Amino acid sequence: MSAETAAKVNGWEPKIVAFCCNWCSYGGADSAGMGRFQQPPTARIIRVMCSGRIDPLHVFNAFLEGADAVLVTGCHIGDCHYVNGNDKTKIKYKFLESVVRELGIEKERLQLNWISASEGEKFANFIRDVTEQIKKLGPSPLKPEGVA
Amino acid sequence: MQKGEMLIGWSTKEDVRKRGGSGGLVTSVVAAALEKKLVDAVVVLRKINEFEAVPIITSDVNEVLNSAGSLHSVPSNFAKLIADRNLKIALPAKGCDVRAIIEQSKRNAINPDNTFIIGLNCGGSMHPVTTREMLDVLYKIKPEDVQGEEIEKGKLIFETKDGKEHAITIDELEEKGYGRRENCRYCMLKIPNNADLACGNWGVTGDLVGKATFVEINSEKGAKLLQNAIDAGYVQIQKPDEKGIATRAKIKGAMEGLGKKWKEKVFVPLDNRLEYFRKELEHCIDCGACKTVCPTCSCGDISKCTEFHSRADPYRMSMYHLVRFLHLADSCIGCGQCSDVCPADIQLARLYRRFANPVQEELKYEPGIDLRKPPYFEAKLEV
Amino acid sequence: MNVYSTICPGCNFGCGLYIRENGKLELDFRKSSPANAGKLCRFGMSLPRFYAPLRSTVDGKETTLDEAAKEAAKRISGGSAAFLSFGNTTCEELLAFQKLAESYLCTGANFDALPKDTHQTLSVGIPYSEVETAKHIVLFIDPYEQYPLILRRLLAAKKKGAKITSVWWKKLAVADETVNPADISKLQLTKDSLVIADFHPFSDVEQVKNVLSIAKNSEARITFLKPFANSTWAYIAAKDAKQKSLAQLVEDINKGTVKTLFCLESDPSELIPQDVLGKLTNIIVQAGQAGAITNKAHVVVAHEPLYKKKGTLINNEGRAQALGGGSTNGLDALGIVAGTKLEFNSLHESVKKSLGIAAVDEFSIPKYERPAYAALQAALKPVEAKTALVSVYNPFMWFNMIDDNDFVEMSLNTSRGLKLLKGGTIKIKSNGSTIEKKFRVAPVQENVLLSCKKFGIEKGTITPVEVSR
Repeated sequence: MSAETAAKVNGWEPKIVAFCCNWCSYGGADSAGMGRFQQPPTARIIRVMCSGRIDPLHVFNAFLEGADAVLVTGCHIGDCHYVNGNDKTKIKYKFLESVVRELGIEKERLQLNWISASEGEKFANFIRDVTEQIKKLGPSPLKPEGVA
Repeated sequence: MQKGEMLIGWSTKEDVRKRGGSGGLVTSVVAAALEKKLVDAVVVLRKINEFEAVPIITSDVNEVLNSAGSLHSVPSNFAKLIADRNLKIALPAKGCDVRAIIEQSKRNAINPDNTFIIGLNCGGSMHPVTTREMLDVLYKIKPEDVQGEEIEKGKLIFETKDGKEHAITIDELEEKGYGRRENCRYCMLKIPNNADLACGNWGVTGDLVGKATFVEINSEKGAKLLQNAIDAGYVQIQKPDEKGIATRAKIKGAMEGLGKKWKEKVFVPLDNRLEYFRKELEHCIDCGACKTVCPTCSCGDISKCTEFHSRADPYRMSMYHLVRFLHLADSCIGCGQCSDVCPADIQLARLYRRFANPVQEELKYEPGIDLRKPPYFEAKLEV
Repeated sequence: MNVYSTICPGCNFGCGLYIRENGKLELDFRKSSPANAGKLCRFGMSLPRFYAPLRSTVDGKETTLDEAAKEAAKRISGGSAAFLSFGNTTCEELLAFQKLAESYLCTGANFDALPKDTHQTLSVGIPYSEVETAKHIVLFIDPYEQYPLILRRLLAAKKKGAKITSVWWKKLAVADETVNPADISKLQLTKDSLVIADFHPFSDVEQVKNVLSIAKNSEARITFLKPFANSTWAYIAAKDAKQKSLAQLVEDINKGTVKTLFCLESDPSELIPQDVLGKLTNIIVQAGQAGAITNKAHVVVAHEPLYKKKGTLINNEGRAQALGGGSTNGLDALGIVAGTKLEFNSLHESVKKSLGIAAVDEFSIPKYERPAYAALQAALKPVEAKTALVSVYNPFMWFNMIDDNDFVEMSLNTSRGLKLLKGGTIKIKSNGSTIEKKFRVAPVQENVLLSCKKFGIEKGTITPVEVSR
């Protein structure tokens, strides 16, 4: 049984790695919980001080270790706690996205979103949408052998 | 003498003229720069035989004068040689070498003010092992009997010691899998206007064919370099005729057209890209030669691609290659050194260009053409 | 700036490269080299690290080359000296060494245990171009780890439609089918097959016989790759010399009949157990670069490193290649040890004469006899241990050099059976000692651990081990 068919039969749940910045999107995840917005338990949140800290290497590593999707989130442009950290994210993401797309990884598996600390619902919806999309796609082709 | 001027020149030294290609102008300019202390050292190819030469840094004028003679079958790599040395240096360079030097300058490994680059027109280079095989299989001549080689009117001509010339069109050679290295086929930089001088035999007309070099001055530094050679009495120049200038432009246009065609032929859209890349890389033995030789990489021994890669990782694709793909997306100049040195014969240049082509086209950024910083650091992007 | 056109000493493949002295040692690729087209493997790329500078010493005190050589001569004159050289140096030096070592020569290879008519087959391989044109290739090696430069030849053959069968512990990406080495009766060969195996000091003699006999029975061609720069010459030149096997040498050291060991460009610490080496009164090492043994040696005769030497190397195909250096001080030192003056030119002439060539030309391969050998019987012992640790001998292992190889490879089932944790370690027990190592999941045979590094618990190439979480 291939990993994909197994996924369909066993009600497989994707593993999603979400990089959240300390000041906005992590707060967003927090308020999603406090506001009791329903979201699937698929996301593993990694808190970073600023989305600008997210190196493309971190994203590659998440994929290689078996993440089915990787989300890059941060403060809205102009709201960065460190003035222009997310501007840098944008430039880096541009390259990362281009490489990941060219590599042949589906575009749903790597997404960028700006989420403020008050947008709990947006965060929950985002995770829900991505989970749905990934469930349709099945496990990541980069998942190592033996990793669920 | 100023930027943009075009001239035809040759060496004043009889033996250099005889030995060197196209009037020995480049050799003389380099020698004059060294002699008149314009630079402290120069890079030349120490010729070993018709198919082999090794690049060296030297301050010996005799070594320079002895090095005369162009070789198409030596795909060498100069930028890495002079990087991090802080030398006042002059060197001849093919288009890809020039691009590599400019990229190293951006990374502060070469000081562009101290580097005099004499660009050489280049229609492509050949791998020496392929060349030998080609001589044996297609030309039916012994490699030892070859004494000279020239590209003319789309034909690759070998001259044997008995004075005979053997010619086959490059198209035919490449159809059969020989001829130029793959990246040279789709290279679009035939006249290196990014160097201080751009030299070559295209545009030399009349009696001077084969005896002089066409020079275009691309910068103040280039003008200084050429003037120095004239003042030292090493070089003579004259104005080119209109016909020559037109011919040069025509050849350039034709070569670029051919390059474009090859590019389309090599980079056909793929369906299952991830599988393709995995398949291409499955024989990788982690030797690291592609990074060591890469003329735009200036990270040194300790770098992201190596430090975050471990042979103990059971990953489906190596972290090393992923980081290289990313780093080269904006800086790959398409020199093909990586493919040349890969022990598993992986066509790495082709892989890197797959990532670099879309990024560089979209951002209208060509690495190694001018000193503009990569968009990675400078561009204001619209998301 | 000095640039040397040289040959990689990592194995017998004969890869050409340039070494440039420019403050530090730098590599450059020699793209016209016939064996490798300028390409280098992981070890080749580490050569600047390999060539660690070495100084002549006597009992730890620094001295000159001549003084050290004189001291060496004094210490071997006792009569209980053995001479060891795997063939990591020039033909000329090896020729001189053989004369010096008349009384007790060891090349590491166990020729005595193999029929004489197979010696030539073991010594000289076939041209790599024949690998490219083979229709069916049977691998008894891991080309990725052991002899990486053969890989592109295999790939070229595959492109032309060759089928590749690997008899190996792991599924190799290049192979179309994999046969378990413990189960080679399944192997089907024809006279179009080409068998590629390797022959080194740790080769199991019965396994070598077995491979030879498989090839013999199916009339397949066979070639043996070898691990030292000039193994081919070391073996063909020592053909008629009286040779002692490595096991014999160890026994004689244990018995006390050998008290002094003279090593020419060879590191016995990889091959002879430490406690045995400890019994020697004198270890004399003549070498061009520092290594594990040079720290322990009583006398170090430090000649120029290989890339600075003048001389000839014979690669696995039998191709004679000239080294680009000019130094013959290794020969001079050997001359002092032997008490005669050694002339490079006359030795070089004898090398050429015995190869039957007028000049050293890297682009042509001298003719070698490849006599047929008689049928032979192998007494293979099946691996009985439940789990075995298999050492994959590669250049880093032979030269004791650090590399990114401190882990073992095993199958997913083996790791699941032991309930190993992802990113964790495995405990391996053998010979009474236990080590803990990182592991990597790979398509390896069940209950086999593969390692490219020596952990110090091994006994030969296949070691029965107990494993636990």
